[in-house]
Amino acid sequence: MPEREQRLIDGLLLAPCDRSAIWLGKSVAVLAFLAAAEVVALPAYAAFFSGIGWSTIAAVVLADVGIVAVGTLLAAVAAVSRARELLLPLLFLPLAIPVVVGGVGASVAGSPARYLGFLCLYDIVFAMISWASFEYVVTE
Amino acid sequence: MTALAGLTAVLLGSAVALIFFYAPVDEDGLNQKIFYFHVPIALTAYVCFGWGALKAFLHLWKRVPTADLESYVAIHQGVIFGAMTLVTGSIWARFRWGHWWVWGDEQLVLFLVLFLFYCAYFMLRFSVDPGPQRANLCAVYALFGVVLIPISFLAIRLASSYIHPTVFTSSGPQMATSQFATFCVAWAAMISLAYFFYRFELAGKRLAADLKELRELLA
Repeated sequence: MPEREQRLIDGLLLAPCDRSAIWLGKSVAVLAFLAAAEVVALPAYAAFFSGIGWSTIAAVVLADVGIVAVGTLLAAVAAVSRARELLLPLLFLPLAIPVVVGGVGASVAGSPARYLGFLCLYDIVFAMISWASFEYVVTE
Repeated sequence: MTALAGLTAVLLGSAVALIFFYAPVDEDGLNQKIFYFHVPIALTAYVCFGWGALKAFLHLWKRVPTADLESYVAIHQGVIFGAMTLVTGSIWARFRWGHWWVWGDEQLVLFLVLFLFYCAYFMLRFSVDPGPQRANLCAVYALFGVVLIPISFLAIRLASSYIHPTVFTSSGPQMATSQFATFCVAWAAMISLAYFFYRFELAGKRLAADLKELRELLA
């Protein structure tokens, strides 16, 4: 975590832009990592298990967005605390459970549309809160 | 404060009297009486979480100086009432369903998850040094919580196979008028109890802060 130890975050905060843009940038970076991992993982799952439909792919994409939006904000929260490695999963797990419910539902249920809609709702709501509150997390 | 304590005592006393002497014993037998404790306590826990989030929002938006402590105390009360919900629910489940805990019931697991979410609030709060940044972090977390509650309910409604009885449907409460009246009194008593605890803890915390300030001035 060089951001806190070497005060990199202060440099980021000095940038003449909206603080939420930092959150957006971090989210996009994490999303790229997740997408790269899934490009490898999903075909493997499709080969070893029963194949993957479009609804599963849509669910994975939507779940990624939700995980990334919430995870980036909570990582910034946990980074301030003394027990950051311990705290992040504790903070994140309860918030990830609706994503798991929606993602699993969309990939196994007969009518995935409801679950996909739910994931969309989750993404929109939590992305908005994270966008709005990131400034308060990194400043005093 | 004294008046509030008196009101709480009167409400609690009349709630207990109504529960045991007025509300009819329905087909479930005597164990159904715990409904008048369990459900009001659970709803009060949600009210406390909502109140904590409101104070958190006021802290972030209006910078009300007392809002951070008030938000913390409200969530603290919410966790206490949440623990009582889990205990009363388990007792009821033991008699009604035959098990202390049923992992297959989404609503139980959901409540446990929300309860643990708010337990993590304390871990967050006490692993950050006191100051304006801690207040901000806790406020943001409390806001996440209050959004997580309806989202989680939506999730279990989508994937539902729960054995929890649904009392409040879109066509109104599914119970007799006498039961509903008793329920309302019991709920008012619990809200009043929670509010009394809230004020009491807040007064104690403020006193402790004042005392600390005085000590520092003297030292």
